[in-house]
Amino acid sequence: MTDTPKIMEVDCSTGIATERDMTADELAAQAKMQADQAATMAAQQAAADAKAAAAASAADKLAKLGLTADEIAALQA
Amino acid sequence: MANTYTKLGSYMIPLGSGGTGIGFSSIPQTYNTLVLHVSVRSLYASGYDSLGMYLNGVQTNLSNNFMNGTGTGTSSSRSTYRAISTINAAYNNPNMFTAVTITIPNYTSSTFKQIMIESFEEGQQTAGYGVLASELWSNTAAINSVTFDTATSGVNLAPYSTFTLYGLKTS
Repeated sequence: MTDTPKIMEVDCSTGIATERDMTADELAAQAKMQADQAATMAAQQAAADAKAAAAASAADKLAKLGLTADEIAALQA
Repeated sequence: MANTYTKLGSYMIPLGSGGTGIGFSSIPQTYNTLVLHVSVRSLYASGYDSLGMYLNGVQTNLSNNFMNGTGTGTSSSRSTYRAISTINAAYNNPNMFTAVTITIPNYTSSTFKQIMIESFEEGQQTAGYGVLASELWSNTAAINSVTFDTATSGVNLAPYSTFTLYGLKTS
């Protein structure tokens, strides 16, 4: 069992800082945020993987056309 | 120049103790404007992170416009989320803090709240990242609390992150 995330809250009327549990709304927002972030990162990784695969495929086809490795690297720079 | 600029509260996350969030409650209703000065970074190691801010515990009816500047270009963006600024994290600048200033005028009024935000990832050796933003919070309640957290990752804020709230009287 994990601890409930905390908010450190300063009471401006007393100056006293007290740690409290996140509310249900705060926890729900945090869970959604983490899920959105994971989805964003997965999409970014998939896009990067697809781009790398396309570049490798293009390089292979260029090589079959007779371009040298240096020429292919120059085109991809 | 306002004749008062009063510190209402301050908190620095101590070493050895990360904080998921930091807040100010029981904010006095006797000033005209709230100003928050924040020096913050995130412990998030897997990507860029942002600072989230919400008022009175409410995370809805937010509308943000951002103008962003880097060392190589400018851009703009909009959101309806509580993220108000990109901040340094363990992922990109592990030892550098981001400076953020937030101004909330008319925080006791019964009208919608306008908020100004400016921030900069200070200390970067190459391209820094600056943000100037305006936010509209479509809520008529007087503001009595402000809460901050990491709005992208949900991980802890870093030790030595510091939050200070001031009240200003404009007359």
